Formats: sequence, C-alpha cells, structure tokens
Amino acid sequence: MWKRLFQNRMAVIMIGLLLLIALMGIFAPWVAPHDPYENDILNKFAGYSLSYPLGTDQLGRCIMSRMIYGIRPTLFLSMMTMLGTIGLGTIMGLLAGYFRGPLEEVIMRTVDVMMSFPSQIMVFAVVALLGIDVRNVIMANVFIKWAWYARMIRTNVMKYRDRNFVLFSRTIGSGERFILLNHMLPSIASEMAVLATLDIGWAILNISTLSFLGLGVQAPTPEWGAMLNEARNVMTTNPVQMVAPGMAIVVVVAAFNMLGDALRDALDPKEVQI
Amino acid sequence: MIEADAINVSFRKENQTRVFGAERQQVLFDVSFRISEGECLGILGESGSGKSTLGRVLCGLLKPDTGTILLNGKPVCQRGSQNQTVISVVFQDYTTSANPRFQVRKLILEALKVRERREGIHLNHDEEINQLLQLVGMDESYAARFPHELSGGQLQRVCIARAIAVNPKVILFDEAISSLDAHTQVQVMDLLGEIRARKNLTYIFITHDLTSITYFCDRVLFLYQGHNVETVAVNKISGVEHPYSKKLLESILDF
Amino acid sequence: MAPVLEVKDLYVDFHYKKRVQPIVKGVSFQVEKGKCLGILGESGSGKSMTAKAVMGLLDKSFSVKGQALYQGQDLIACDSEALRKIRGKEICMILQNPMTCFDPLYRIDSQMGETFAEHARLTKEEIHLKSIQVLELMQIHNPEEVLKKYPHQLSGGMLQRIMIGLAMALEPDILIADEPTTAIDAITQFEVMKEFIRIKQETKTAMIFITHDLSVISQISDQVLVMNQGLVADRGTFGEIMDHAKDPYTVLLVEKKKAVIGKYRAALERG
Repeated sequence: MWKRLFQNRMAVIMIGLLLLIALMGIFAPWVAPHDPYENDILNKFAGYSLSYPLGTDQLGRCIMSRMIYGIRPTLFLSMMTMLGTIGLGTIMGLLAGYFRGPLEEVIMRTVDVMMSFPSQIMVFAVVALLGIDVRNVIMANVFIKWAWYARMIRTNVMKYRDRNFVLFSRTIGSGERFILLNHMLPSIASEMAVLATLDIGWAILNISTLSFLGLGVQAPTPEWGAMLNEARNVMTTNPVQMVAPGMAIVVVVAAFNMLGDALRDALDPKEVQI
Repeated sequence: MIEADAINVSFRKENQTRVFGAERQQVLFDVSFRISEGECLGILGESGSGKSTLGRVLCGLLKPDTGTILLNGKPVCQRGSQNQTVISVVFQDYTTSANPRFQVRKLILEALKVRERREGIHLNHDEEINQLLQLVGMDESYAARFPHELSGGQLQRVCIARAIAVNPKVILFDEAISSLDAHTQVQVMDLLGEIRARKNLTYIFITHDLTSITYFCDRVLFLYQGHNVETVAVNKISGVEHPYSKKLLESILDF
Repeated sequence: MAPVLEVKDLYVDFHYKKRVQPIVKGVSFQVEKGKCLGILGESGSGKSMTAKAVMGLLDKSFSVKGQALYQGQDLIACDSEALRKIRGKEICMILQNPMTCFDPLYRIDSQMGETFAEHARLTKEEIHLKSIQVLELMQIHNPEEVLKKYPHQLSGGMLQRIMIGLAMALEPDILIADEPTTAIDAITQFEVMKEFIRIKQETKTAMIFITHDLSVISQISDQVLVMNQGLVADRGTFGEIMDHAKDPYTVLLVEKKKAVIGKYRAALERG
C-alpha cells in the first residue's frame, strides 16, 4: 500500500509540498526573516524587497514572517479539528453501521438532529456561547461536523458488512473487535482518507472564516484568515495585501484535496498493477 | 446431527402498497430436514428458490421468523458457547470471500486463532498453515500471496483451507464451485470428497446443478420456491415423485 | 459448399497502460449454411472475444488483425457504419445475461419495435403483428400481455426466448449465441435449447454457439472448436472430440465431464 502511494506522482508531490509547509511552520523562528509582531509604522505598505520578500502590512509588519508563523495555528488547529471530527464520526458510523438495531436508531436520529442545524451558524453560535478561545473553535467544529461523517461512514460500513469475508468471520465466531478493526476499518480506509483530507480543507477554511470574522484567532496573532481580515480593511489603499494569505489558503486546501484523491487510489485494493 | 424444524423466513417487502405497511415477502415456507453425521446433503434449488437464505440461516447469520436449527441438540444462533458444534462455510464468490488486504497466511491464521480460543489450546501456526495448504493441494509458497495474485481455483482452495482451519464438524458450501471452470469443479469436488473421508466431516452442499449433486452427495433435497418438496437418496433418484423434481430430471442434457 | 463465414488467422490484443496482452492468438474456422459451429472454452479462453471481434463490437483498446470473410467482404476491414448495417440484419448476436440485455426503462413492445424499425420498413401495425408472431413462435403464451410488460417483470428464461425470437425474426444469415444458457436454470435451459434446435432444423441459418458446457454443445453443434487461452486446442465433430481428442486440455475436459455424467447415469440406473 505504501509502495503504491509513493508510485503515484501526484501524491508524492503533494505530500512533499505539505511537509515543506508544515516544516516551515514548525521551524518558523529560524525560517522567518523578521519577528511577526514587530511594528514599524514608518515602513507600512512597503513593496517587495529583499529584506521584506512579501512587503509589509498596515502596521509595518513583515508579511512573509506573518505568513510563516501563521502556518502554525492554521495547520495545527485544522488537524486537531479533523482528527476530532473524523474520529468521533468514524466511531459512531462504525457502531451504527455494523451493529444495526436500536443502537443504530439512536445514533442516526442524533445525526439527523445535528444535521438539521445550519452548520456555519451553529459554529458561530457555539463559539459565541463558549467564549472566543481556540479550543472552543475546535470543539464547535467537531460538535457540528461529526454527524455528517458518521452518516457517510455508516453507508460505507453497511456496504462491507455483508461482504463474504465478513460473513465468514461472523459465522466462525471471530471476535467483534477483531472484525471491526481488521476487516471493517481497513475496508473503509480509502473512503475515510478522502473524507479526512476534504475535512482538513474545510477546517482550514472554517478557521480562517472565524478569524476573518474576529471569532477565532485574535489579533495580533498571525493567522491567514485574520490576515485576510486585516487586509480587507485596507483593501482600497493596499489591495496587494490580500493576495498572500488568500493564495496560501487556496494552495493548501487544494493540495489536501489532491492528496485525498491520490490516497483513495492508493488505498483501494482493486487498483492493482497488472 | 443437524435438525431443521419448520423454518420460516420472510423479508420486509421493498415496495409497500401502504404508507406504514408491514408487508412481508416470504422466502422459506416450513422447511424441515435432518442430516446425519458424516453425510453429504445436497440442497438443489434454482435462483429464487430461497437456497441462499437457507444457507444464511444454517450458518447462524440470519434468524428465522419461526423454527429452529439444532446442531447436536444446541440451537445454532448461540455464539460464544464453549462446546458448540462448529459450522464453517465456503461461499460462491471467492473474490469477495477473502479480505483483499490479508495475505493467505493471515486469512488462515484468523480461523486458527478462533479455533485456539475455542478449544483452549496453542498451535504452531506455521506448521498448521502449511499442513492445511498441502491438504488442499497447494504448496507453502502460496502463504505469502495476496488474493488478487491467485487464480479463481486457487483462491477457492484457500477458502476451503480456511474453512477447515477452524476445525468444524459441518461445512456449508453455498454454490462454492459454481463460479469455477467445469474441470476445476470436478477436481475440487474430488478434493472435498477426500477431505470428508479423512476428517469425517458433514457437508451441506447448496447448488443449482443436479449433476454435481449426483457426483458428490449422498442425499438430495429439492428446494422449490421456498418449499422442501422432496428429499431422496441420490442412488434412488429416478424414483422421485414431485412434478418439479421429475421435470428437473428430464431437463438434464445428456450426450 | 462455400462457407457463409470464414475466419482466417484472427488475432486480438488488449492494450492497457502501455502493455499489450494477447487475447486471441491465431484462430481460424468456417461456418457453413444450415450448420452449427460450437465453440467450447472456459473463462479466459477468448471465445467471446473471437465472436465480438468478428462482429466489430470491441472498442479502441483492442487491436484486431486477420480476416473474417462474409459474402466476399472482410468484416474486420469494414468501417463501423457498414458493420452496423450488417449487424442485426444479416448477422445477429445473442448475449449471455438476458436480464441485462433489455433496457429496464422501456416495455418489451417498444424495444422489439426499435429493432424492427431499424432494419425493416414496416408500419406500426405491421411491427405489432410481427412482434406477436415472433412471441408465438417462441412458445410464449399471452403474447399481447407480455408485450406490455417491463423486462424486470419477466423471468430470465422468457427474456432469453424473446431475444432469440427477435434475433431470428430478421432472418439473419448467421446467428451467434454467446453463452445463452449460462445464466438461466436447468429447466429453462432445456426449453431454450429446444428452441435453438428447432430453429436449426426449420431455417437455413448458420449458427455459432459459444459455451463452456459440453452437454449443451452436444445437443446442437455439427462441428466443435475447443479453445484454450486464445488458441484452438482441438476441432472436429462432437464424437471426435469425445473419443479422439488430441490436445491434453481437451482430454482433461472430456474426462472430467464423462466422470460426472457417468455417476449421474449410474445413480439413475440404481434407483
């Protein structure tokens, strides 16, 4: 499986790109040319130069440094969100899809209730209720989105549940835990991989939206969505300032989506080289 | 050894005529039969006769609406009991019968572990796996292969080895050879005959092909539209009385 | 007597991801008017591919070489429009799974009418009459009712008989049947084979009958071609194949089949 993954050129490129970005974020203090918080009002809206590769923003801060430091909250928060959402969604979906009966009814009705709320509004409502804090952002996202994934995963689980190899295990009396972990989970892995990468993209956009609206990461912490917010204020005087964070969001979300495609191909057991 | 009494199975109909309708489609009607130890019973039915449903009920995967299946006196649905008579199964579609991510070794190992847990013993895994592969006519080098690297006949043999690994008393074959080539079918039937004699197993052989049953089984049960219309010993087959069985006998093309 | 169809040195290759896989490796045969050629082979032998190649039904990922001479024309060299005119009218093909051969969204009468309208100039009333006639010829009772039904409301056997009737209604020179009895049960198989035998006796249509079942082929074919992995393993009459097969593969097939039928006969006698 790993071999197949690394044979897929697109996957390798995307993994490389994303790893590079992640490393830049981790080693931000060494990679960034300036302190992201350092103001220099006299130098605001400076153009591209060697010392300020992406110019400066309205407070004279180096945009490049802020972008690099901004990787941390953007990627980290979205990872945490994705893990929480997919984790909870998978557990619920597996239980509902495999065990059927009353357990399934309870879980799926809960899912129905959660899905009847408009998700974006709910995230805002939860964050507003719990207070503006990074942890609350993650919790709000997980609370709202798990239901959607639970439903999708349940459908996939039901597809594999009546496959002959699962039927065999059930007939001879293999333990339920064994079946769930060794048969069901790997079978839905390829679909899960696509969902997970789509979700990171969604989470990045969501956190950026919240920051853009002032509900997520607070100023002066650098975060791409917050930077977009600030750029919005000076759109008429320095429109170029929006470009860097906007492009960065587009590139990273697209990279995750393409990685998801490649992962799905690599994990699908039917895609075998003749 | 196996007693099936008045098995009735029905499913909720897909297209109901009323909004909260509970209409059911009955698939098996009062099916009863007995199988003695060491015997090979053939269940003959065409598609739509309910034979696959009967197979699922026999495996314990499906609970009938009414009726019981007793294996040596104990109902088949009880899982996890210690001295339970073990029934194992081989399915028709070998491509979905094996987890495509498991190597042959791991496929058989799962069954071995179930056996170990049930009998409370410890086995030498490698030795057992090699023995089982040899039993079905394959050599040890196949243990490291994946299902997509095997041919149909080979994969089905692995499924048979896996079914035997759990040390069952009864094996249910649900159209297990129907997807194989004609000459491979005969080879597999010969192999299964040898294994039955060696390990004193009981076979239930579900198929739509009467000539396979006369080649391989001791008795045949004619299943027609969910009814057990007739059960007769294979060597008394020309004496069938039910019109369906008679018609079936007439339809066999001979050369 | 000149053969109706003569296939010479047919090669079919499958092109997949820069690799070439040979499927049919040099097959030649002849089909004569009023006679039936049986092609016997198991899955992967290339028997269906041979028929599809002759009919021009393979897509671009297959490359076909060789000759298939029909009425002086080489079918393999023909362009797709010319082939389309021949298909259905002069050479008809019946496929394996009758359930999937009909469009589930349309009733039987409109599907039959579609074929007639394509190949013959008939008015609506004439098409209706001809459809009834075809169904009655295939021993289908209540043809009026059957015409109004959808494919899923009919059994596999009945659909297959409708397919055969439809194929024969156009009075083709050659009828190719690709495993027509594989997906149906034994009793219906018997009925369908009776139809094929009747067609063979009453019309002068040449037939190519593809199957993996020796018993089925024994009922209908005059000449048998045994295919194994893209090559012709043996050819001859059914009797010759049964008793004097040359290729070890054929010998194996015959041996196993004889064992099974032998036991069947023994069981019948003892009872």
